[in-house]
Amino acid sequence: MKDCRDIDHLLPAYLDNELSAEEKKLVDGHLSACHRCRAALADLKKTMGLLQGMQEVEPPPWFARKVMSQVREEAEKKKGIIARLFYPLHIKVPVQALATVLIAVLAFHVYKTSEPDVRRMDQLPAPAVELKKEQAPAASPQKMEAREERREAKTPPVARLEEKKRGSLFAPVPREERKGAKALDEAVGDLSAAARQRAPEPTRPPEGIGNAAPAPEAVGSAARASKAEEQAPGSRMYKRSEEREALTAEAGRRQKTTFEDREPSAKKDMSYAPSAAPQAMAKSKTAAGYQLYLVIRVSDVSSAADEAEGILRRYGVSATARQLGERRRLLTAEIKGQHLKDAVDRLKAVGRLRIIGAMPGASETPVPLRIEIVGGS
Amino acid sequence: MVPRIRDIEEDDAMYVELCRKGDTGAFEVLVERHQKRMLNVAFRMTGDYDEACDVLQESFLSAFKALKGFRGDARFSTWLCGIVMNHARNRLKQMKSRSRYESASVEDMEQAGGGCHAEGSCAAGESAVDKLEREELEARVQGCIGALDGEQREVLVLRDIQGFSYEEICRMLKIPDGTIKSRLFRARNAVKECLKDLLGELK
Repeated sequence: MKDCRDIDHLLPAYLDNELSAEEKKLVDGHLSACHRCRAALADLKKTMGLLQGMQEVEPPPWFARKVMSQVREEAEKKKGIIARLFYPLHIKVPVQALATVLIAVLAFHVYKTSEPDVRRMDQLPAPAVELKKEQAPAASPQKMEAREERREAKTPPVARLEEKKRGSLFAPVPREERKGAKALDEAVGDLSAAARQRAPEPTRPPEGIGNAAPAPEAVGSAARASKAEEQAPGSRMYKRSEEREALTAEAGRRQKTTFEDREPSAKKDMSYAPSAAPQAMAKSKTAAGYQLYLVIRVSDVSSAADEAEGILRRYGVSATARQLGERRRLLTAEIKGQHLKDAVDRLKAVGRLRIIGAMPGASETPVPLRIEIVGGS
Repeated sequence: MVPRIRDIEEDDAMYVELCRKGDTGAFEVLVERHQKRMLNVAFRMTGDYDEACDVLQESFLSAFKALKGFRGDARFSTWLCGIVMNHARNRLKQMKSRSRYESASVEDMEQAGGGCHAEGSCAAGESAVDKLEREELEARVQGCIGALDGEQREVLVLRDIQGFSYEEICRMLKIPDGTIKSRLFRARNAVKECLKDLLGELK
């Protein structure tokens, strides 16, 4: 039997039914005998009743508003901190960084594109030799000619940049070169179809246009040059003077002039409406069919060149000779159509002659002629 | 004591989620919903209506700041009540150090408790005399609660006055079930002893 004090401690748990069966029995036994403890249990019940029945207080009506104003203030503060700390990180810095990177890349690109040009200009003949070496015996001379043609189509750096952007510059990657030539072949193929319709003397249908790779190439480069000129009007003056210097060797330019001679309307187009220039040039592309390429393989380049010049002089043609490399010489001239066949026959005596491009028919019209004399046959 | 409905608890989670996404308006809903019960917890803990209001204000602000850390493994009300208990505890310490100079007594606590009911929380239809008696009685009870030791007071307020489950109290106070019960039983007996002279007169 426990005393009242112990029972008193057990009473709250007894009331909550939290006692073990043994303890509960003990308390029950005590309560039945002890009046004081029964009173204590009653008091406890009353206390519980009082506690549970306590009135609830109401929050003041302004309470939620006050809390929310503080919360919003806090949210603003938080936002402020976030804005200060993270906004520049998330938005501003990347934009700035991107701009910086962009400028850096652009600067590098400009440097890269302009610098090699200077180098190339300085040592123009040297790469020709290199190219020649690169060109395995299997490679056809047309390829080389195409290269030379491009090189001759001298354009100011700006125009060149334009060209490079189009991915068809002097890149010494033969494969690309070939690809470009092929693409141009196709382009000119279309154009030559148009030429057939318009051409005044298409003696030979240009089915051999596939072989005439260098011709379209030259015209292509001429067209490109003029296009570049159009796109970079600031460099026009410079370009013009440069072109004049290279005039005699500039096949594309030649074609342009011949074409212009023939079609004054096209010239007008070009001079009065710069926007119409590409169309005019497109027309001049058809002139490609009249350009004749001759490649003569000889053992002695200089004597062969003299010989060829002599032959041309007989027809009252003065050729412009140009040294392209140690063993390559280029002669450019304009010869009247009626003399052409004769001249070509004579030139056959100089060395192993290959005719690239369609032979134009006999006429009074001057035909631009390129004779390339290659040594070491 | 308003019994909480499960639906409301689940609804709370939705508003909590909205708050986390930066919707302060959603927090207002939570404040409106829980302010009364939490105020009563704070009031029974501090025994002073104004202190309770301050405690609750602090608690809601802390809850808002800490909402990102609320993982939803407990009910929002349980989590919030834990915060209120912490703030109330701190406030009591401050009050105690203040009262050391002011030598606050049980009488002061009773007075504080009585003052609160001027807020108009009394049941309608009560006569003026009944109201006065009732207020006096409640003030006495509040005084006895205030006289309890802090730990006992916490469990008594949460369990007997606010009717939280043992499990919820476990989460709030982070103490085991057995400890809660032993504290609670001692607290009940202490209040009973405190009210002894009064209880004899009660039917």
